[in-house]
Amino acid sequence: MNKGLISGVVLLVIGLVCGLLLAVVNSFTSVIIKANEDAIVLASLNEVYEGSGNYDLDIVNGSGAIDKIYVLRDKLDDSIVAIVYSVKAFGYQSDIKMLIAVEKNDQSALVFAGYKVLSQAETPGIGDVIIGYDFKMDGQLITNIDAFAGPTATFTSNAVKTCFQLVSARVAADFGGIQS
Amino acid sequence: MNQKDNFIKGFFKENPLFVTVLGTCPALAITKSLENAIGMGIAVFFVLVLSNLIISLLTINPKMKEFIKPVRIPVYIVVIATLVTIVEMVMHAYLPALFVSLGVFIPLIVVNCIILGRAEAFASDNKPVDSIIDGMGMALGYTMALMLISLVREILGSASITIWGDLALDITPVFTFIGIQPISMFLQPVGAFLTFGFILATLAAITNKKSAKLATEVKQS
Repeated sequence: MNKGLISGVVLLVIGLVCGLLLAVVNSFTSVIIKANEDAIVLASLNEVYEGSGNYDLDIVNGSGAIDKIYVLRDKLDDSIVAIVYSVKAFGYQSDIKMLIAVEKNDQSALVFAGYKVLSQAETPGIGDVIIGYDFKMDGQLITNIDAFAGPTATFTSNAVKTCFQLVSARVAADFGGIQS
Repeated sequence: MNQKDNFIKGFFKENPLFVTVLGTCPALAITKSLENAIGMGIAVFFVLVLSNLIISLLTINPKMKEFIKPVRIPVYIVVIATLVTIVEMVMHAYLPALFVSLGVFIPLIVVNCIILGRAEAFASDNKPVDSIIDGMGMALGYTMALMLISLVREILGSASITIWGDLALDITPVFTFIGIQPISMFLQPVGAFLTFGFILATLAAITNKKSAKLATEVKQS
């Protein structure tokens, strides 16, 4: 047989064995990696939504400005307790990424349960006060975006407001069934 | 060369980082803490020892070696990339914090000159046991070099020594006693270059002094 062909076959066999080995390792590490990532998100969600550890977490890929949607379901009856959106909008000089949680209040109306700025690179001392800033949105109906009073940095405030609007526009439909 | 010399050469005589100056890119980038250096050292150890063993086994048969010769570089890369990907997946699963800390430098081990260099220069022409010992010596020598750079940078840059996870040594009181502040520059790339440069210069001075002494002795005799 042609020597070059044999060399090629040797390379092919080595490649196949390596591929098989990787598949085996991936089969048990991917489950742990996924669990780790969910734990990180849950820890982060815990800051927005207290007691999130008591719920099952479904992660749905979003589209456009909404990166991911985290659906917290009650472990007992599988009902949707809250939906948390990972959403972004461009501020003055950076993407502002936020988690915005929505739940139903006692009257079964959808309200903002909480929010957290995950990342931003706005102007220090002006735009970046959105971190830890009290937007006074907790418990506000999702239709009442005007309740939002942001910091004085207009572009940053508008970006945060846009995030709330993006969530507000789709959350009612999502509580009826997530659509990515 | 006996087994002992084969093992020890990676530490001093042929240290990959300080003598042959290979694998400098991750060495400068990740040595901000001792933990990073140890983590990278473990990854390189695993990949280097196993790649040396596998390549030595593949080329131990003269006929097989002849078939592999025209495609040896792709074969080496496939083997090394597989091992690095395994390290990456295992680290991502079991040591997520270290995985994030080392970042892109884990997959970049694939193109680390030390691994490919040892495969081509040593493992492909030597027995499996010798290749394993060579890999261990080189990997430990590289880890030792990473640890030395990271110790200098972390102590001077942040007045601490992070051994692993929460196990860290705070040496701020020493700094306070001396009356100096940590120099954050040492945690920046410039600090990495300066530290690496000073260590290389010191080692070069020691080597030159030894050579001069040897030359004088030869002259006198």
